Parts: sequence; C-alpha cells; structure tokens
Amino acid sequence: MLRSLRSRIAAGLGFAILLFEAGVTLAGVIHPRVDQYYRDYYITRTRPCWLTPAKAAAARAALAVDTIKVGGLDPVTTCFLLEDGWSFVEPWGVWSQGRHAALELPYRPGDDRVVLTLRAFSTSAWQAVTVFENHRRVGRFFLAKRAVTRLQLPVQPATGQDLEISFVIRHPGSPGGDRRLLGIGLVSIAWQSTGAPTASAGH
Amino acid sequence: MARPLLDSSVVGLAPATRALNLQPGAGAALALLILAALAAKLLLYAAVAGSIMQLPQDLCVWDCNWFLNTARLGYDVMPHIRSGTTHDQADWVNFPIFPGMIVLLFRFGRLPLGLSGFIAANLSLGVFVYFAVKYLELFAGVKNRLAMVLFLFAFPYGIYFSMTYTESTYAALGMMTFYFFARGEETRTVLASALFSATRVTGVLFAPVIAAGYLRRAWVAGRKSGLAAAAETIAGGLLPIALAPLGLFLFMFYLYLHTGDAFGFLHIQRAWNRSEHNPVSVLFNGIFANDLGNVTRGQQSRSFAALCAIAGLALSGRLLLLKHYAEAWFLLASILIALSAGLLSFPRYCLTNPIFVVWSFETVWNLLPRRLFIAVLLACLATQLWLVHLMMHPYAFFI
Repeated sequence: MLRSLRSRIAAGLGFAILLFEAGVTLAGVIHPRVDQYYRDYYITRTRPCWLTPAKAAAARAALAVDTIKVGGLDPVTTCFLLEDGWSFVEPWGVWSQGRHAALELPYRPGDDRVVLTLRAFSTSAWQAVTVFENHRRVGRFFLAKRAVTRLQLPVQPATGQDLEISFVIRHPGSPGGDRRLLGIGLVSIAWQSTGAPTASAGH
Repeated sequence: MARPLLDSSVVGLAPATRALNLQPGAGAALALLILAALAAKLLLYAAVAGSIMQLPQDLCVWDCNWFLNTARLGYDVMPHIRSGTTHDQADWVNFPIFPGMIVLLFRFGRLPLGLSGFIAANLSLGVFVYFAVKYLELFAGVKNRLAMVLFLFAFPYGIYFSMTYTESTYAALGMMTFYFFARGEETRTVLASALFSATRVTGVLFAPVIAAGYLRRAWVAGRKSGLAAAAETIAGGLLPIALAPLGLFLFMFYLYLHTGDAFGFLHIQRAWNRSEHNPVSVLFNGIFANDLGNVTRGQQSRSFAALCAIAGLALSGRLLLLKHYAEAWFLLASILIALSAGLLSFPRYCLTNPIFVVWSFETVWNLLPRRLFIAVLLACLATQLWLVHLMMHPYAFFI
C-alpha cells in the first residue's frame, strides 16, 4: 500500500488538511467565540434583534429600576428584555407569540422576588402557564382569560448572572382577525426584596 | 506514464476530450477576439450610459459598494448598521477572492478603487469567456468561436459580469475548474476548485465531484483487486479531496480568528431576513405568485425567479441525459441552495451560473435551427442593454 515515498507524503498532507478542515468546522459549530446576543440573533435566531456590548450595557442601565413598564420601553431595551417568543410591543405591553416565551432581566443584588403583571388570552376560561427561572421550574399557574394577574415569583439569580424567566404556554390561541398565537400579555415587571420565598398568583 | 489522479470519465466527460483538436496559436486569436468583444460590449454600455469615463461609477450600484468597502477596509469585525439598512449587517457574505483581486489592483496597481473593481470584474469576464469557449470546443458540434463569444457576451444577465460583483470571478473560476476537469488535468482542477470554493459558498460544490470520482475508482479497484487496492486508491485521493474545498475552509478559519464565527458568512444572512426554506415550496410559491408583470416595470418578480429556476432545473436534467453528471450535479445543487434562501436575487444566482450560461449556448446552438441563432443573439443583447438601462436607474429588480 502506497509504495512510493511521494505517495505517502501526499496522503499524509491530505490527511492533515482534512483534519484542519474538520477542526475548523467543529470549532465553528461547537465553540463559536461570540457573545450571547450574537448567538441568540444570528446563530440560534431566537432573539428578534442584536445587541452590541454598548447597547446591552445601555439596556441594563434602563432596566435598573424597581418597576419596568414594558409598553414604554425603547427598542434597544426591549431587545434585551424580550429574549424570545414575543410579538411587537404595544402601548400597554406585549403579547407572547407561540408556546414558548422568555425574558432576560439584569442581575439585581438583594432582590429575591419578581412580580409580573400579566394578561392572558385563551380560547377557554383559563390559560395554563408553566414558569421557569434559569431553566428551574418555579410552578404552573392558571391565569383567568382577559383578567390582569400579578404573579409573584421567588428568584435566586446566581451572583452577577442575568435572570432568565421563561414561560411554556399550554394553549396559545388566535383572536379573530389576528393570525398570531397569543398566550400571555406582559404588562410590567417589578422587583421586590421580601422574606420567605413563595410562588403565588393573585388578581 | 503516471495514472492521473482524477478520472474525468467517471462523470461522463471522457468522450468529449476526443474532439479536442486545437490549432497552434488558437489561444492568442481567441484572446484577441474576446478582447474585441469586451471592448464592443463596454462601448455599447457607454452608449446607454452616455459616457465611457463614468461607466465604472454608473455600474456601481447595490452590492458594488460592499465589495469596494471590503477591499478598502478589510472584513468587518462585527455587524453594524449601514446607511439605508435597518439591521446590523456585515460583509462576511462576500467570499475573499473577488475583493482580493480588487485589493491587488487598488494597492499594487495604484488604480482608483472603483476602477479597480470594474477592471477586476471585466478581467474575470474575459477569463470566463476564454475558458468557456475552450470548454465548449471539447464537445463535438460546437466549433464556431465567433458564435460562442458573441453569445457569452450577449447573455442577458451578463450585465453582472461587467459590474463590481463577484459573478464574473465566480464564473471564471468555475469554468476553469470544469475545463481542467474535462481535460483530466488533475493538479489544475484541484487548484482551480480550491480557488472556486473561496469565491462563493456554492463554489465548494465541485469538491464532492472529486470525492465521488475517487470513491468510484476505489469501488472498481476493490472489486477487481481487493480491499488493499481500494484503500490505496482512497489514500491516493486524500490530497486532492482535501485541497478541492480548501478555499472555503481557509475563509472559515479566517472568520473564526477575525470575528469568532467560522460560519459568519451563513449566519449573517439573518440581517437580510433570509432563512432556510424548503426549496420545493419556495419554487411553488414563486410559480403561483402571478406577478410576472412586474418584470416589465423593472420590479422584482417571484414568478420570473421561479421560471429561471425551472429553466435551470430543465438544463440540469438535460445535462444528466447527456451524462455530464458533474455539471448536472453542480447546476442542480446550486439552484436548490439558492432557492432554499428564497427568491430574492435568485435570477442573478441562476442566470450567471457558468454552467447555466455555457450550456444555454450549447442548447440553443444544437437544438434550435441555425437560422434562429442570430435572432436569439439579438434578443439576448437587447435584453441585456435594457437591463443596463434599468441598472443605471436602480430598480428593485436588480439585487
């Protein structure tokens, strides 16, 4: 097999180049050296917009308030906050679109509770929503159709890390004349610092 | 005599090489003919534009400035908003060979940037036509050089070959690859293929042809002389198989170092709202879009794009029947990849594909009555000049 030295060198060189090509491909697939916002927008296409580090810093600053009213946010801050699965922002807030939606909140030391003010759309009387905090299941909640609900969530963000709150919506539906699959409407987000962590919903 | 590494007979091109019978000095005469045709083409363009001196600027619309910016400043480090855009875009979608040619002319030739792009494109056009004629001459029945040159210059979407776009460089390197392959010139084929793969993403589609050729040879050797012979064939093919797509992988490596994303040229498509679709459904959507009338108004037409795709698929089928498997594969795969990104810009991708252009000539020449050839030629030329007029008054049709 491959009797001549020249053939062996050619085969070895070919093998080395193939290894290089495989390495570049694997590095590109497994370990792109990009930040989360680039990945979300350009690679996984989960976020509807892209944030440069400067824009992300500006959004963090804008979100460093006790109560965030979603309807009044500028596009860059909206881009940061509404990570995935949301429709366009309306004056009152924003509807989730599809079965999954996620929020990204900047880390706030000291606060251990987030209060979400939500609306619900459903083809039945209730909308069932399962809530996760950084992929940890917080609980399942039933939101009354068209009512405004305040959902209190205990949160435990790791120090320095942003908080991701995601929702799995059981039965998103389309209102007449609108092809979007709506589930929950996010009106505002408030931070609280309280004692014992509990999850609850109230009108 | 050493056995060639590449075996072009595996893709049905071997019979054509028997028709090769070039006269001494034929290359120089062909080059002169091409030069004359190129000069005539640019003079016609100047007549439409009203000025020969302003032609490079007049033809620098749409994507032209992307290439010039890349040549002037290098590739973007990260996406950013540009004038007239709403999404953060980057120039990684433009593969490096064509901007590299502009850099050579601009930096080392000391030419103005716009003129450098114009010259690079038209130089590539000349190379494309040269190799296209030589390629067509390999096949019996196509020996009229004047007809070939005139058709290749008059082809309607040939306007993109004279603009600062990557089309002519892509066509030139693609044609070189197929020409050397048809002649069984292994080293040149592999080197041309490596450059071709650094011109546009579909340039890498020739690499599987080389791999398939070796696999087939290994299969034959294995059946004839056993497993050791098959393994030896595969081992002997490792270098050409690895070299053929190397241009793409070097670009990916560069992007990884420069931007952190080796697949940036694909991922950045998001900024143009392009996503992957089923090419068949894209084609059907185009067929039933019923907007062919847009063409006459110089606007984008999905129906027209779908018709282009159908023409390309039909040509690919004809190549398959003619047993030109490499060309059939290349054209088919190029069309499907372009379709999967949607119909925006599809006519350009399809109608400037070197295999599409060259085999359109072969089809017209061999299937139509010869007396119709002049009529086809004039119709092509008139269409191209109309497109030149539209291009100089930018319409959405041309992206």
